[in-house]
Amino acid sequence: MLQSLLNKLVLWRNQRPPPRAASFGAKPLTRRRALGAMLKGGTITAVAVQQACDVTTDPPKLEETVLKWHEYFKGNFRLMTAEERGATVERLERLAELESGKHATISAQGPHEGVLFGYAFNISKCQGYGDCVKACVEENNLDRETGMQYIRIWEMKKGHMSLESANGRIAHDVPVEGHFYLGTQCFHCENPPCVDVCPVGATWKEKDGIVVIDYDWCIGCRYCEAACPYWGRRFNWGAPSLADQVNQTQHYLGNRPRKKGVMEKCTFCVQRTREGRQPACVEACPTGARVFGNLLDPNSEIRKILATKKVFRLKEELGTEPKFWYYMD
Amino acid sequence: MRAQTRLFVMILILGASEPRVADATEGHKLWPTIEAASEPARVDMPQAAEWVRGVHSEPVQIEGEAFGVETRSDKMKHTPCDGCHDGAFKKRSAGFGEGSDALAHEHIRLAHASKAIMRCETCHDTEAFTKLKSLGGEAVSFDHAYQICGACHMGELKDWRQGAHGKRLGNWMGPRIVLSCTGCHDPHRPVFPAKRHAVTVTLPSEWNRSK
Repeated sequence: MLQSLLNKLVLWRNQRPPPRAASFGAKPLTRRRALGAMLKGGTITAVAVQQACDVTTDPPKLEETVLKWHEYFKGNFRLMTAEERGATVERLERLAELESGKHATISAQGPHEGVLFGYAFNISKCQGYGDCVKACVEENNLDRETGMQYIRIWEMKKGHMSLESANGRIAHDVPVEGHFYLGTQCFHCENPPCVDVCPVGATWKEKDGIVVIDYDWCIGCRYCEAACPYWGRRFNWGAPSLADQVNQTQHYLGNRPRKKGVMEKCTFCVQRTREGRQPACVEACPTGARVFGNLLDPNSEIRKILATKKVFRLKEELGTEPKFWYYMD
Repeated sequence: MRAQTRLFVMILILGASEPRVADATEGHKLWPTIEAASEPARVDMPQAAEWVRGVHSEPVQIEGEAFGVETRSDKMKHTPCDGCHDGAFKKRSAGFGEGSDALAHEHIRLAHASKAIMRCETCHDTEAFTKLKSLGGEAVSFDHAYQICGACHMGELKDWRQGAHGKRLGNWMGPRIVLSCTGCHDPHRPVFPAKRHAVTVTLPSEWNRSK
């Protein structure tokens, strides 16, 4: 009985006519195209209405409205052409300027050929000072009000390797006798589970190994946060309150201020590293416990660490292949 | 029949609820990619040199590694030594220069190994104190203090030249300039001091969501 049912189902599926696009002029009219046309019309109407209703006809306000409309209906960053990327960057820079009166530089620099970023963390050297966390907050425009932090420093008892028993909320003088310190953040896995679960394709792994998020495409469902075995992802509970402490050197996929209700996380400071600069955490570390470099360069520090030191990664058995190694002296 | 149906339903439920177990054999493997890159990568990024532009450095060449080490002699506060001292190292005779700090070194409390091993004159030359002195008695510039430190800390020296110990400045590619041992460690008290953790950790449940 089951078999005959299945057969019927297959037959029905095969007989169904293929989805046909209605024709409209030279181009086939798909749902997407129709929606797009409607929205464009909507923009013009809305702008006209706005202009008609606004007694003052304040030009900057009108400009802001137009820019915001265009921003609202732009595509996924990964699918944008170079021109479209340039246009959205220009709009975002102008919007930031209209809002704060300060000029931000937003880069859309892509990955470099021959680069695969890797990170090493020396657990013998880290003293738990937390200067990296502070530098990260300042560099990446993290919300000061909710106390958003990408890096977590764990105080671990010597002889224990479980994060379950570690203290992740250090509020005293460090280092403490008989303890070592281990930092976690996004590990930029080679097989990132967070990317697999995203229902809208708002997060992906770039060619240089950085896992990024298109903040304007993210719907804030937090599936990725649940899928990450390392608690590497964060949800934005509020619009970032930064006052006048905004870092104006920004990247589209990096530290530009996020809006409320989207995911964010460590990007290996994409705005710095794609210009050859060290991530902020590496630069700030006073003990030299953090090493960053190119895994495809056999002369890089990171490759020498992998070749000569005892290294391990967290939850290696999951097959996520983090590009973040821990090592010891 | 009922038992069969129940079994069938159970199989369906189990089949549907089986968690996806990521197998280490599936997905992209990282190590072969890394290992395959045996040639130095040719990355076009001239701006990498910008991040160490203002750093004063001295070239270093040890064991086939060539890089730069940040200079120290130009950052020392109480130089030149012979501006105050004349003659023997311990003797601070009449020669304190105009405006000099008479208590220049009074804060120094030696806490480096035991006193039986390390004294002032283990590293400082009591005669020509503008330079350091190696264990073999050779004069070593303050800029190359790693030569002195490495005489005992050989493992650290090896790690340092490879980049596993120490700190690189500014960039991750391009010209490599690192801090010398004394760039991070106080040579008189090399263990890092305790200090307050720099940040407060707030859990999501404690965040203010009123915004």
